[in-house]
Amino acid sequence: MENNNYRYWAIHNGMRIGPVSFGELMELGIRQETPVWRAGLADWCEASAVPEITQCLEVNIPPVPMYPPDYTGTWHQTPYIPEVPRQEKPMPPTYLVWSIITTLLCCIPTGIVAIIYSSKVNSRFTSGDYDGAQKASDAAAIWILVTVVLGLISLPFQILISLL
Amino acid sequence: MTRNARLTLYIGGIVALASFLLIYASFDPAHNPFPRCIFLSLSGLKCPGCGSQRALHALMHGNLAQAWHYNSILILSLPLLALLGFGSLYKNRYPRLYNRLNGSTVIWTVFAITIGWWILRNIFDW
Repeated sequence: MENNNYRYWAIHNGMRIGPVSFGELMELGIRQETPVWRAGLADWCEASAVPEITQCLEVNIPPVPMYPPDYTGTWHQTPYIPEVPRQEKPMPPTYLVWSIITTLLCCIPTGIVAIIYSSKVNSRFTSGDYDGAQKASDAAAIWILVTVVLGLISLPFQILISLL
Repeated sequence: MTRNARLTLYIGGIVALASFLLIYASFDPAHNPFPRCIFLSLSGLKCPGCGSQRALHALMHGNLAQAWHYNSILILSLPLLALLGFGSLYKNRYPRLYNRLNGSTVIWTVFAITIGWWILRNIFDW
C-alpha cells in the first residue's frame, strides 16, 4: 500500500503540495479532511475518501494517543491503567466451632478431620491461595456433616447396645 | 441465604438446643438407657467425646466437679466455644479477634489438645 506508484497532490496548511509519493504524503501529517488528488480520482476529495490513505491514517495517525498494550496484547485508546491490586477477599469460614462441637458430642471421631481442614482454611488463605482456602472450608463443612450424620445413624444402635 | 431462612435456622437451632439441654437435665444418662458411644462399644476405646452426656447432665445440675470428672475437655472447650461464637457474631466489629481465633495457632492447639486428651484418657482411664 505504501509502495504504490501514484503521485499525490494535497492542500496542506493552506499550501498546495505535490507531486509527492505516498510515503512523503503521509509524512506531511495530513488529516482526514485534508484535500488530496491523485490520478484516477475525478476531482479533489478529502483524504478520508481515498482508501489507501484512510487505511494508513487509521494506522499511523490515530485520533487519540495509543497506550502500550497490556498483558493480553490489545492496544488501548484510553490511558493504560495497570491492573488494580486484587481486592481483599474475606476469609472463608473455618467452622471451628462446629468441628469442636461435633468432635465432643457425636461420638464419632471424624470431627477431628474437620478440625484439620479448619486449620487449612487459614493457612491457605494467609498464603494467598483463595481457592484452596474455599475448598478446605467446604471440606470442613462436609466432614462436620459426615460426623453428624454418622452420629445420627448410629444412634439407634447405640441405644440398643446400652439396653443390652 | 435469605434473611428469613437464617432466622428460621437460628430459631430452630435454639429450640433444638433447649430441648436437648432439657432432656439431659431431666434424665441422668448414667442410670437411663441413653445411647452409649458407638466408638467405645465397637473398639473398647474412649473417643474424645465419651462422657459428654453425663457431663452435660452434671453441668445442668450445677455440678461442675462431677462434669469435669466425666469429660474434662468438654468443660475446657466451653469458654473457647463462647469466645468463638462471640468472634463470629461480631466478626465485622472485631476482625482481628476473629482472625486470631480462626488462626493456625488456635486451631492446631485445639487439635493437639483433642488428640492428646484422646490418647491420655485411654491410658489413664480418665
